[in-house]
Amino acid sequence: MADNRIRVALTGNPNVGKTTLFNMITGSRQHVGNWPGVTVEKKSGFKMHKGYEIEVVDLPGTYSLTAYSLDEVVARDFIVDEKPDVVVQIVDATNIERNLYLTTQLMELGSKMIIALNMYDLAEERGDKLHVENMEKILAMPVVLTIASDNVGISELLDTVIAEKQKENHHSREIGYGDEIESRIIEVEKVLSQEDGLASRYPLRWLAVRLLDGDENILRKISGSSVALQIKSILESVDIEEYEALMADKRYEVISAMFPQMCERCMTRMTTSDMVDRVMTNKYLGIPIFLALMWGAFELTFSFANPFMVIIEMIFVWLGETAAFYIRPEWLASLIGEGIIGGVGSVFLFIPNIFILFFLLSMLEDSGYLARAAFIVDRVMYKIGLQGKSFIPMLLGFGCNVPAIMATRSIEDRMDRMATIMVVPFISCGARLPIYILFAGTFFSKNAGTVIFCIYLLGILVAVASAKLLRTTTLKGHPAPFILELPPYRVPTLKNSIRHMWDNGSMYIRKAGTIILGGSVVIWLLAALPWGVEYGSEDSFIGIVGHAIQPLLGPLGFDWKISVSLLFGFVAKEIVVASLGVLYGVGDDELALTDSLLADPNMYGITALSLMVFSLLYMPCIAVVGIIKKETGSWKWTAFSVAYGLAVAWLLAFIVFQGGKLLN
Amino acid sequence: MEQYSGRSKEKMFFAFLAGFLYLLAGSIQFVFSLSTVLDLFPVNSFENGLIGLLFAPSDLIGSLILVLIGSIFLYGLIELRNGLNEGIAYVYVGILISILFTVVYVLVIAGNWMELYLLNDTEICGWDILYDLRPAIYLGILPLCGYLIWRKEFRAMNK
Amino acid sequence: MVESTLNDLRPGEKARIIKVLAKGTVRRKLMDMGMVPGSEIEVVRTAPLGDPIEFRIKGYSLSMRKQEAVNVVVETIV
Repeated sequence: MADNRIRVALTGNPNVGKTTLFNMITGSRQHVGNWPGVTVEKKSGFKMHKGYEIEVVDLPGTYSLTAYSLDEVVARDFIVDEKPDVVVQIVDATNIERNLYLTTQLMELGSKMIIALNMYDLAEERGDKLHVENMEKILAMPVVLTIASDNVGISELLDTVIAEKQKENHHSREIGYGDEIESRIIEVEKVLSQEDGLASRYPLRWLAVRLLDGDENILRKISGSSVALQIKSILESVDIEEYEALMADKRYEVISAMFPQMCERCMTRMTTSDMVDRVMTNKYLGIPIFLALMWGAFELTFSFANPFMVIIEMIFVWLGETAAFYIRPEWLASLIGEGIIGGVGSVFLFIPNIFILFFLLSMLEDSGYLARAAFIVDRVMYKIGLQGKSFIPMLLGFGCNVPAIMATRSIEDRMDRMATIMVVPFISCGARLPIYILFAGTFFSKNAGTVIFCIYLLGILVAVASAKLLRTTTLKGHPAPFILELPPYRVPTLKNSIRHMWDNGSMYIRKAGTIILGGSVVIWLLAALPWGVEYGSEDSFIGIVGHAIQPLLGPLGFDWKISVSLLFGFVAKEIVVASLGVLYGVGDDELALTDSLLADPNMYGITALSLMVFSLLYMPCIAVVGIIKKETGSWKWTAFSVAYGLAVAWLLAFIVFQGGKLLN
Repeated sequence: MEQYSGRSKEKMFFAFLAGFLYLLAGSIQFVFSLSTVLDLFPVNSFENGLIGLLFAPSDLIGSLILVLIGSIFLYGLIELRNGLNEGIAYVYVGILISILFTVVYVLVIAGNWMELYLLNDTEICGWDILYDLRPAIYLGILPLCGYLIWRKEFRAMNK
Repeated sequence: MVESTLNDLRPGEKARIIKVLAKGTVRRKLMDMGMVPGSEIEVVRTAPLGDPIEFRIKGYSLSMRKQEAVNVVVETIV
């Protein structure tokens, strides 16, 4: 390998800004793929800095390297097997103590390490006093202050990486595990050193520590070597379970000795937090408070976003009209005005919703309440076959199912995670809201809010029933253990919430944007072809397909126009409304669409209700299917998710429509 | 200790007042919302009267939130009366939650206002601020006062 | 001093961990979170629905389901 190439591994606990830092360093020069053999995402990228080509590999976020979760194995195997030149651990400056547990384990891997103390501004704002020099001395590694999202400290971090790479050797600090264990470590190390293959590949002390810590993965690693039997006999002579406990204890002891010298006033303030928790998790008030807060977040996400959506809509309508006015020939004006500008408009329309949602979620998370929410609802989630942590992805699902399904990564157990991924699509995302607003607003004007709330509730109920069903059939078994830290309450900072909002909001635009735009162009093409038909009429491809599937949807009360728009809801749910506008020949004018719907003899309250139920439950959109495939790593599960959603949607809409007809 | 119990008396009175008002407003609104939803009376009978003006008759969930806030205050009051100083936590959290919901409703109003201003729609020009006024907003003045009075204690909580 | 398991303690009670009976990943995870023999642990409260339970250990708050707490043998400290 040439001397001017440096390989850097990024590690850290989840949610410390690792991805943001990675994006800041590598910019657009990224490669996203999977780690060999597993479905854990691998991201790497390059950066030229002062004549060096720095390759950055983003390792999965983990709290520790011992609990054998897929993420942890991937992270430590990379460091041990691939031997990156430098390992950078990103440490959340507002939660140093917790982060240090991982540090103590990384130190043993024998690599050159750097700590990036991220979001230090937030810690200082809070009144913490960080002693960076002490930290460097105690940990025996460089510490760089960074604010990843503001691009602060990135260049210094890269300078430090280069400086570390050039150092001949490094003195890594090691944790002493006490006389008894240490003597065993030496004994095991001695045996291991007899096998050259091992000594050249792994730091022996680390191997010895892991073996004495009862690490089955490592035991498997050495099982083929000549010393395997000898090691086995040593391990049999000691009480591994006791060692395991002693070693964990020692790590904690070291941290509690080191920490006060690194940071003053950073101690967790439990007493106040405890007082707050008395109320928030109160036996009687806890659940109502939880529901009220969720409802408040919901109300803000949707009501307060409205005017911003109006502004965006006005801009795009104006753009579309301007395009239609100036561009010739007419078909091109239509493609650009209705197809492309309309499509981009429908991507941007949801930005206010998504931004506000992520802002509020970040507030909830930073305040510490989100963990309490998991604590409060775990019992219920467990009863339905999920767990408290499944709640967060499901809550995110109300904004957009795509980040929600991505958020299931925090669930370690594969079965729990699969079950959560399968039920998230029933959670009504922001993109489905325009359908409800249109139909509830048109047919239930006085009680539109209540109707919409009930639709959301139905989504939750179906998700619950489905989880229960999955747990008794394909994903049989109980949820994994629930061992969760409840961080102390804190006042969330505006700055952090805005960062979070921006990161996730822009991700939505990138992830969903192209698909929605593509879908809009496809709609336009199908509506405009074959050549010469009136746009969106019965003779267009759209009309033909709509008529073809109408018999299937007839029992739900849907005519061909609705069938067509639902078909295109596959691309993205918000297109349902747009395509209805096209089919009724009113374009983007919602008021005109409302009038046309009211005037349509096929449309009445029950149809509207049935349509809302169907829209709620059938396959969310192509982006979600894509992300399910990516996260489950299986086409079978992806196909199941789509088919199951359609079946449930049809069944419930059928019940609503036919039941409603009987009652009337 | 003397001073502490004096303060605690202040808070007990505050908890009583806020709890009582929120619970009362919540209950009234709940009854009227329910009767509006269930169509027990002709809709317009409250819309124009004082009740319609004060309680936004079709806000069922809003009324439950008021009841909840009232209950938090009263729960704190009961604990304080039983000599449990932790009851103060309920008063603090009650103040924070009620302010939170005041902010939520104010933002919703601001949103509605902005939307109308933008659309400048002649049809809905009849809107005025009274239409969106909720008990959570005007009752919010009370916890806001509480917050201002005990500002220092709230700050101490964060440090 | 009475030996019992963690799920038997009532809120406010303190105990010292004697043994972690869990195996495999659960055991590992408990260790990582600081549940090692000799550590002091306090029951803070149960969730509104009765499960999980919140504990305080090594200055952190940790929540755990009852069925996991059964695996931790403790002696109560008076």
